[in-house]
Amino acid sequence: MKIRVGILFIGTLIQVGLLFMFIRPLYRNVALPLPLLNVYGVRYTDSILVLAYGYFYFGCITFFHMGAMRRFLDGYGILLLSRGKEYSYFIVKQFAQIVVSVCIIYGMEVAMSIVMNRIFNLGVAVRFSSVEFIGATLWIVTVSILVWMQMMLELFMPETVAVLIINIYGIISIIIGTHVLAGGSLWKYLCFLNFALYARIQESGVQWTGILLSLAGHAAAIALLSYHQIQRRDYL
Amino acid sequence: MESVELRHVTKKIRSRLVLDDITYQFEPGTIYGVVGPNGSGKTMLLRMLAGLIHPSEGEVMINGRLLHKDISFPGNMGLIIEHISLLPYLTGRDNLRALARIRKVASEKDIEDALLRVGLEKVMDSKVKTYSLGMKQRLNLAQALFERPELLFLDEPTNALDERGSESIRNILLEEKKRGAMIVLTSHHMDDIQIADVQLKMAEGRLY
Repeated sequence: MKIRVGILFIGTLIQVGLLFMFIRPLYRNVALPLPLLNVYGVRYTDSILVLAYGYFYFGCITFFHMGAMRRFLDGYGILLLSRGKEYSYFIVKQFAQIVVSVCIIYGMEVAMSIVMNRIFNLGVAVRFSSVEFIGATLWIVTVSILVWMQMMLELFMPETVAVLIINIYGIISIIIGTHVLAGGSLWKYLCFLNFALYARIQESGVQWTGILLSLAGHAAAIALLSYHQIQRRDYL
Repeated sequence: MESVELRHVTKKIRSRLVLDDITYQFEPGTIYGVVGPNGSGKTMLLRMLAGLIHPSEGEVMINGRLLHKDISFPGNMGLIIEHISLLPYLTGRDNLRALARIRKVASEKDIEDALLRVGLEKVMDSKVKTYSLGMKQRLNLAQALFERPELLFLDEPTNALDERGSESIRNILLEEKKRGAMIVLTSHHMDDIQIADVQLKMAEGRLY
């Protein structure tokens, strides 16, 4: 656990550093909304920068959550299941815990960026409006659903394979996203991680209804598959 | 009273046979002791009885109901298996309270009685993270007992306990038997299952 927290902390530090070193110079004349580090300031056409900025931190978050579901189910969860606790309880509890965890991680990143901004006197303006709120919500929901997807995969395969798959998916969705987001193809609604980058969504003109439907569809599929697998898996 | 029946139960895990065509009827009010070396299939047998693993072939019947089809788990069961860990940031008493909220059959007195029976009276209000290995094992037994289950599946219940602790566990199990519970316990050592009415041996997934 200490290693996971350490990696997440270092990851946050690097992410905040990336913002100030690489992203900020691109927006010299624009006030950067500090509480929205994850969703603003990345142009959707710049794959490498987006990968560094949009994917790297996501990778740290998936590593932090690796194995959580399996550990719970094979440990304390057995005591609950054997007492007849509803399977749906595990699904709801799991998602709620992920959302809380992702919110805390987000808060940690914002706090760290504010501290860094003060210490190095970077003069970044702090702004928070409805646009930033939507962007932050989208980041939290998207990352939460992807981590939930990772935990669902852990019910079917070893946790290391699950984390690898979700990270490869994250990288591919950002690389492909550069090409498909602006086009008419429906693939853009499967390139999930891009939804966490609000500026990308804004610039590409992707439909909000499509995004919400995609997120809801994925969430429903994850819930159903998790339910099915919790019911039929072996607790070894 | 609950009875459990295994009918030609076979379990394969990644092509390895861990339970091999086991047919056996477990009766209420009886202590069954299963002994065997590491990897003989004792723990798998216990998990099969508890509904934690699915048979590759065969059936497990609980009171005439087919496990995993008619019911997901045996209804009235107490369980100790490896890797089960209670919540470290709660006290022993609060851990049992949290579990009691699921079935709603145990009172506050049942919780306290169980903790007293296993000898945790002095530490029941301390956080579990401060417990020694032996105390955690006692608490595990308390969580298995406090709802007065009719089925008790105990995987090496005397693990991490000294001779005095093991003796007190054996006495508790004899009391549970008098109450009418069916108990299946496993061990590496024959000495640990001396209290059993029926002693069974396991080797290479087969029950003798």
